[in-house]
Amino acid sequence: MSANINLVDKRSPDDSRREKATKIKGISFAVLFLTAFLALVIFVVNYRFSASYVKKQEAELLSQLSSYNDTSAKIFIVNSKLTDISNVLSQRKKYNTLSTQIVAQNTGGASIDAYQIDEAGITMSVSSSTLSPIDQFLNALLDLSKKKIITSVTLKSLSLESGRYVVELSII
Amino acid sequence: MKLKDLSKESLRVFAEENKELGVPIVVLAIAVILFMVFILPNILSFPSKKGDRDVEVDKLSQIKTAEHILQSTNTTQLNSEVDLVSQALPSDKNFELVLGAIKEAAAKSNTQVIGYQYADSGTPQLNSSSSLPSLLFTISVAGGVDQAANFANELYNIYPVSGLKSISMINGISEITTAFYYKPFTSVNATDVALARDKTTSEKKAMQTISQWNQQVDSSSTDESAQTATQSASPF
Repeated sequence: MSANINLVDKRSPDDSRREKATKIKGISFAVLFLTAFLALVIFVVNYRFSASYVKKQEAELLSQLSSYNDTSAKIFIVNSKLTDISNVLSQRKKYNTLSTQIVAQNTGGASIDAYQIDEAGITMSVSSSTLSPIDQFLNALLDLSKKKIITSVTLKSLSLESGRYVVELSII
Repeated sequence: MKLKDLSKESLRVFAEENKELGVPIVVLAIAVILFMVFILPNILSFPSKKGDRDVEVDKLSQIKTAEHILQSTNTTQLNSEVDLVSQALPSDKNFELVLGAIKEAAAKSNTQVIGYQYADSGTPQLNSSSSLPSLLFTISVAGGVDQAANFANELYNIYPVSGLKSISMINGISEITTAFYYKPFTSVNATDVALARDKTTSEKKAMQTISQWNQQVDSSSTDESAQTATQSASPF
């Protein structure tokens, strides 16, 4: 058995209290240091990654690019006009193409006396001395309908005027 | 000894006994205040600040893209593009350009223009299909529907950009009603260089289309100058 074992505490209560106080003091300063450090880190992060910091960068970049104002305005004008032109091109009606296709169906020699194409559709008046060319034209128009180039063909009227057959057609 | 004196005495003794703890208590109090006043509010406001920052980062990214575009822009080409789009979509009512287009279309489609009427279609009822203002021309040409369609077809490939409203024909005279569009300049903040951006696909396509018009006009203007001169019946 070792003779060096001393179970009696040689420290006085004051020493023990002082030691505890020192420990608490150390811990409190450590906590303050950590808090201050954390606050500093948050401050730096806030500054470095803040919206105002990015705004500052924007302002610097914009001032560097001030000599390009004229070019920028021109690019804006070109792009803006091209957007409008693109819209017009995509929306404009192909009345010319459709009219050419419809007139091309009149291979029998019927006379197109009146024609109108607009947003409402197509109305036309076709006449011939015999019914055969009109029939041929109508059948050709029905073929266009089958090809989905036009939606419908309506025979609005058929009359005989001065020895000529006249039909009024409505095409959508 | 009164109770009040006793408690004062007790407090004094307690303070005397624990005076070593005074400094740590003050230090901890400072740490807590620092945490409550500065750290906690900053942590709580982080999501909203991040949102603000993201918006600004997007703006910065846009400006950087604009910087790249501005630095790599060929000024000569840009100037020719400005001329081209200004012809295709004038900034005001350019009658000279419109009448030139009608003349050009007549020459190219070999059509005789009998006359025309025009209306300023700034009003919505005349120009409901587009948000752009336009000059609404009704052009009378000699010939049937196919002739009118050819004329309209040529008009579609000539400056300024136009849109057909109707084609009608009666007694061998056709009328083509078409809107010639224009658009006043939009006010631009000269300092806003971030407006510079690459063309979108539809804009590139539009540029390609109107560039082809340019080639057609240029080549035809020399080839068909003699033919145009013979259009004596034309009102132009």
